[in-house]
Amino acid sequence: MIENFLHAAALVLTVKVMGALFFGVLVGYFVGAMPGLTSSIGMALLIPFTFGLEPIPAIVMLVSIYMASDYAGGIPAILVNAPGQPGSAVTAFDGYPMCNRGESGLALNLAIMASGAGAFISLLLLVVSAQVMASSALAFGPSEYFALAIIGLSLIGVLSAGSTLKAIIGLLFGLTVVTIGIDPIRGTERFVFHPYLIDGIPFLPALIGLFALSEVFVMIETANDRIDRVKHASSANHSLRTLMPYRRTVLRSSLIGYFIGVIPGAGASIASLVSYGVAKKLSRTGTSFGTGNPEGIVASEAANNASVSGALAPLLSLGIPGSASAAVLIGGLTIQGLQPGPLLFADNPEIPFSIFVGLLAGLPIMLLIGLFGARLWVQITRIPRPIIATVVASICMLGSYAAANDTFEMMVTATFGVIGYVLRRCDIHPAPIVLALVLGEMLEANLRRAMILANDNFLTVISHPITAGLILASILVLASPLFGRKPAAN
Amino acid sequence: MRALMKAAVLAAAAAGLTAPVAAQDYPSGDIRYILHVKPGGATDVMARRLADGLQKALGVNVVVENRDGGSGARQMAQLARAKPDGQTIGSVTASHLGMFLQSNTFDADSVTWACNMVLDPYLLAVRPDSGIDSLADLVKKAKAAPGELSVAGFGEASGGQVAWQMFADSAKLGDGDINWVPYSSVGDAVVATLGGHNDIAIAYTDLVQQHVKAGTLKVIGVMSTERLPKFPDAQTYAEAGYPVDTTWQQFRGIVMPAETPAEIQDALCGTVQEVMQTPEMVKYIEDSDLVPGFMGHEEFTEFVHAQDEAAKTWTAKLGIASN
Repeated sequence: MIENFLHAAALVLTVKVMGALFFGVLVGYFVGAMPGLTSSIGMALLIPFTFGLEPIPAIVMLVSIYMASDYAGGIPAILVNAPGQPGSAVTAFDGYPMCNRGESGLALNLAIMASGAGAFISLLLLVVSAQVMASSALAFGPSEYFALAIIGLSLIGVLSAGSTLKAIIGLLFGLTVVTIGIDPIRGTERFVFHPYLIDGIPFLPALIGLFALSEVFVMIETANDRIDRVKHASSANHSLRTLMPYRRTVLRSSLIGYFIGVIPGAGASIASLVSYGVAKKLSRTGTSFGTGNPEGIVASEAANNASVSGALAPLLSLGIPGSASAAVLIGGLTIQGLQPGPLLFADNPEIPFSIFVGLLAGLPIMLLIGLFGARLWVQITRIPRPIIATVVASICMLGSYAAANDTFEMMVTATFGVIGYVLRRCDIHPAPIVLALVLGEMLEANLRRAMILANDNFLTVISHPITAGLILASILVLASPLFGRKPAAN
Repeated sequence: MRALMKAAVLAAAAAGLTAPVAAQDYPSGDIRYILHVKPGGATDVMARRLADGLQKALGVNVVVENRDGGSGARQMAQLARAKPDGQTIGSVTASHLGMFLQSNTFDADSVTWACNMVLDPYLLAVRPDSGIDSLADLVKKAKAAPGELSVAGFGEASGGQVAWQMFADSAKLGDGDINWVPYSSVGDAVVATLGGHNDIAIAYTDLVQQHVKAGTLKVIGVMSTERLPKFPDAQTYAEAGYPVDTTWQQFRGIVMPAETPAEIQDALCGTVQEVMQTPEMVKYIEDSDLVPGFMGHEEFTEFVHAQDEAAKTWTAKLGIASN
């Protein structure tokens, strides 16, 4: 292993590869911070450029986009409530309220450092456990995915800041939305009133509408309020010490993020939601989550960045893509004539080890850009509200257009912007809706697959050991408010 | 066939009258190549390689656009809107046939089928520790314990399910002897089988060959007339005593807006055929374990309509919902 590392280090630490890495980080920052452009889109856009590159710089460039975009997704989430990546929606829960209090500098720095810590811890886990963890990725079949979705949904009680009833309304609304499209099992159309809806409501444009566009409407309402939202920006403390009070959360969230990332199909969004829910449950200041608690940002960012390394474990050791970006990475490897699969470590050890070294070498670059950039980015909050609202609205539309090069996505964003605004006015938080949008299809399709496998016997479905454990855990999560400390209701 | 020829002649005549675009002027500018898949997957990668080759051979830019979504419906809408002058082309795979069954808007006649590039035969894979050694063994076990075994594949009414049903029919397996479990991609179905959640996967060579090499999967039967070079030990269905129609295969080709003149289709496809024979492309096809299967406009049209008919017949037989 050490030998492989040294060999890979010699391959990566060259001007050419480091150049590719730096370029990848910049592209990653851009696509990550741009709502609508995800890391997988950014990677796919650069794939044609890798035709002429050798395998190592090509792969290092693609991986650094993947990593950097998850850092950057939190920036617009904090500054304008527009998650740059699906996984950073949770960052906005506390990041944007902090920004409104004038603590955008602190929020950004915490997000960057938690991201870095999450990426570093999960990278260490990846190096030592990639091959072992791969087998646990295989342990998830239909019944286990169903249980995973259940435990995700059971977090609703934790995520709902105010009324549980309103949270359930949000959840049901989200679950209703995901029934639109092709029935995942029978293949019949459900509520397909427009040919493009055959695949359902596109997730990213809906997310942009719910969060960012609805915020634009709120900004317009409050356009004349004069508040200085950068009071702490210049004095923001850049030292790692800022993160120290949250070291337990960082560690826990990184572990959660890594393990959820390993499970194919469960990526950054689920990782950050679960990590946030757990942090809120365990934190002494849990009741202030959602109103600008720094710990919420730390929990979300550490987890969504850790899930990146997690998704690389089944990719490198089994050739199974754990996320959309991992699937693009497989495409990139294939172009180079490499076959990602169970033999990659044996046949081409330089590839996984170059990825490890590349990620390690990229970390300080990403951190420095993030920390120095934060001083610049907070200036955005000094821009008068009418202007910022206009700019954010344009970016929302541009981003949703770019997600599929089609105006259909823009209509989805506009629709969900209005829905999000109405829900806000009714005091229904977007968190349960996001939860349902992320988990809805996983829940339905896998329950029905598991029922086919079990010849329609539900008891057989829940008698799988992992399934039973997860369902038991979700019952405990749901029932916990009945016992122990009662969380203060707002 | 005669009807097709007639249609082709009529189309050619109509094209001569209405469209002044002559094949020798083609291409008259940059070509838009609209894909129905997201960037990064196997179909996308191959299309970009082809675009690169076409660009060199034709001397114009070939701009790849990903219009994924709606199982291909979004791409079809783009093609329907484009002028039938050969400057807009699209990717196509067998998955479009499934969409045609589900869609009220598009069918096999919504586009014209310019040429096919490669074929990919279906195969059945199991875990080596599953205790299933051959197709005959599989059938015997299924009949001994109906409902115990399950086969994983992509979707419902898909090419994969039809392929499976052809085998089941030939092996006289009844309804419910082996459960069909639909996954959202063939890759997911392979993973579920690797993990032991399903007994059998119906897949393609490139999705299983690494696992076969690593000894975690075993191919027990291939749906083709001859054995596949990558799995010399796996019997064809016919060899095992279950003859099926082996023309039923996954394919990757090129479509153009309906009413694109035949000469223009031929002009483009001649170049496509040349590009497919360049050393880089040959190596790529070999590395990805695809089977070269070039078909010109007429042959491809006939092939696709036969597949479309078969899909309709089989899904009707299965009672699978379709429009």
